Amino acid sequence: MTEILGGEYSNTKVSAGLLPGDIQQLTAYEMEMLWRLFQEIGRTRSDSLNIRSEWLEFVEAKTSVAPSYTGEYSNAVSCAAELLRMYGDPEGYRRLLLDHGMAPDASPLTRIAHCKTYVVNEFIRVQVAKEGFKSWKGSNYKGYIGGSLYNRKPRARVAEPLIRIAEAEGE
Amino acid sequence: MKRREFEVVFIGSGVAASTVAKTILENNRLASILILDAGPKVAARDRRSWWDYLVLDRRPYDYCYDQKGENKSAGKTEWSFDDGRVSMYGGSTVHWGGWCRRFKPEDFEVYSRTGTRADWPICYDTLEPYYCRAEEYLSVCGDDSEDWVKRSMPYPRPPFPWTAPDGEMIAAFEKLGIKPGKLPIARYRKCMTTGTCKYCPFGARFSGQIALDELLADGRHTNLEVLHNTPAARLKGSSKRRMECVEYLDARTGERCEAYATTIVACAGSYETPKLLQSSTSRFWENGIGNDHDLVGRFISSHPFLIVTGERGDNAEEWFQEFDFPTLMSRTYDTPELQADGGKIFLFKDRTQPNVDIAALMIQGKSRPEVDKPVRAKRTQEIQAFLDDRGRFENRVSALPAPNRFGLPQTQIDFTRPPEFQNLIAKRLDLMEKIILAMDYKVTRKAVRTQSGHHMTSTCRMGKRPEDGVVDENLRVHGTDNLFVCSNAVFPTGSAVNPTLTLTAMSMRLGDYLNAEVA
Repeated sequence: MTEILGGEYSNTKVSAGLLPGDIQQLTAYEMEMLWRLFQEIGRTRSDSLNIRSEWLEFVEAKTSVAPSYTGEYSNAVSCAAELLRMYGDPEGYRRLLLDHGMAPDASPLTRIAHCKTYVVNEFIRVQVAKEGFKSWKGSNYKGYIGGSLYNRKPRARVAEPLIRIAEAEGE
Repeated sequence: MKRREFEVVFIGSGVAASTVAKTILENNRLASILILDAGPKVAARDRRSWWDYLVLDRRPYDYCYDQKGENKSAGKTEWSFDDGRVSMYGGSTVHWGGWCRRFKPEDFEVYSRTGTRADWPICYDTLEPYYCRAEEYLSVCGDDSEDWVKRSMPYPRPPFPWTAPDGEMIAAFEKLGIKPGKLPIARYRKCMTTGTCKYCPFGARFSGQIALDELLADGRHTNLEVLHNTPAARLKGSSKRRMECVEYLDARTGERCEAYATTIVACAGSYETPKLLQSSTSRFWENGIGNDHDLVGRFISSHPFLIVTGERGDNAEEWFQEFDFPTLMSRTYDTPELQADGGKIFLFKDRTQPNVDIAALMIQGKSRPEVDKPVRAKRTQEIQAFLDDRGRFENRVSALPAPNRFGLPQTQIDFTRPPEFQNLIAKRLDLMEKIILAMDYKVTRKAVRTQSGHHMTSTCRMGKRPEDGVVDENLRVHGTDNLFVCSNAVFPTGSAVNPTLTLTAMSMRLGDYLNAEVA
């Protein structure tokens, strides 16, 4: 059985809804901590990390428009800090991403569960959609903005040229 | 009651209303037009909404779908209201896939060819120039080398390529003598194939909302007005022939209003348009407008959706479906011969498979090797088809007394398939199963989905005489001078392919007709 992740702060009971945070802004330090968390997702599984501008736009959209995720992001930074204090770097991230022991559909009722549900899980979706999928040989993916359809390079892996029936019939 | 006056009032704001309105405004930029929509306005191209759709699979207009308990399926065949239509500004084009296939000539001659259902009062050749215009307007990306149906103009945009997983199915098609084709699909040049077509971040796919927003932003159209949250309650006439106004509720204020108009066009789809006509009873029309022959709301027709799924025991290429729409299709079984044999089918490869949700596995905490294993372990592909449906008089849409969340009457669908339907489905599924077997895949599922109204037609069908249909060949309600219906509801019969391109062409034709009438 997986041991409980994190310490006193991470396991504080909270309600399942978004944590309040509308009146505060993320500090530059918090943004860097969040970016580090986002990078660790790529490092552990899918490598691609060259998408800071898109990640920044995502965070901006999630914090500047209601319902704001500012409280969730601040909480995630605090949880990550506690994990790093307890387990070291990068073991704290490894546990959060790979050995968290949390069911994906469970209602988030602790601070660490909030961090996982509202921040880590969404960051994973952004990371895979924006770049991570490429390490599975793909050219295109849901959410990927790779440029115009009319580029010379096809947007997706395409079928090999095939002999059309009409041509075959003409032979 | 608040009273306002216009030249034309539209009920609904989807592809039909926006296209007819645009055609009128191109002829007379100052035309006085009111467009009413029962639903709300949901912001398009909103970045936060798009990100939430991407990471949470939550569209900002999800609440505009029919919800459980709002409507009633009353026939012997279950009718699903799930995800079938969107009640909002822009109508169901907000969520449509943009598949743009023309009907074929035999689709307009069903009665003449089969002795069942009805003929259209217009033929393919009448509509062909409008198909060309509609394809240009919707920016259809299609293959000019195809020859499924006669065309006088090339497609405005080149087609999307077949994707890598299409290759296996194309090879199977060729073994079976099935001709592969590229699906014509409506996308503007700015499409970047994000795969988030149900909420495009750029507005790269036509929707009634985008079309009307552009008209409203055009400073020349000073007499165009669009109202949201304004469910139409009934139509009122000063005589049997003359419709005077639309009575509607302004749901934001609770105020009852009347919009008087020289011309009224009901563009509220195949559910709401017949319900509105049925509800508009008066001493002139005791059974509802256009309903002296009890045809309003009858002949419900909608595609049965057939699927055959197959699986093979590896996916070494790590293929997944990289577009959010199909690229491979065939009309080999969309022919007069199969029409005479009970029903044609339009074949297409499933838009979602093969696929493994990599992010979901990562969310579960799977390591890279643990994610790689299911990605490479098996591959699933699915052939799907729409069956050309047969409308029956007994199958009917009608209004329930209680309102829904938008202030429109709730819907009842009385729908029953005849016993022979299952035999036809089995025959068509057998054709599809051969494709999966020819791919050397194991068949894992062979089924028809629960019937729904995604492509519902015929509930206010066209007919030359009032005994045959609700509207005439110009979409004017029989027995009236100035009431028109523009919706899939006017199709006397459906076909095996999606209806929106044909509705767009019909809308342009109606716009031309109204312009000529004014002239």
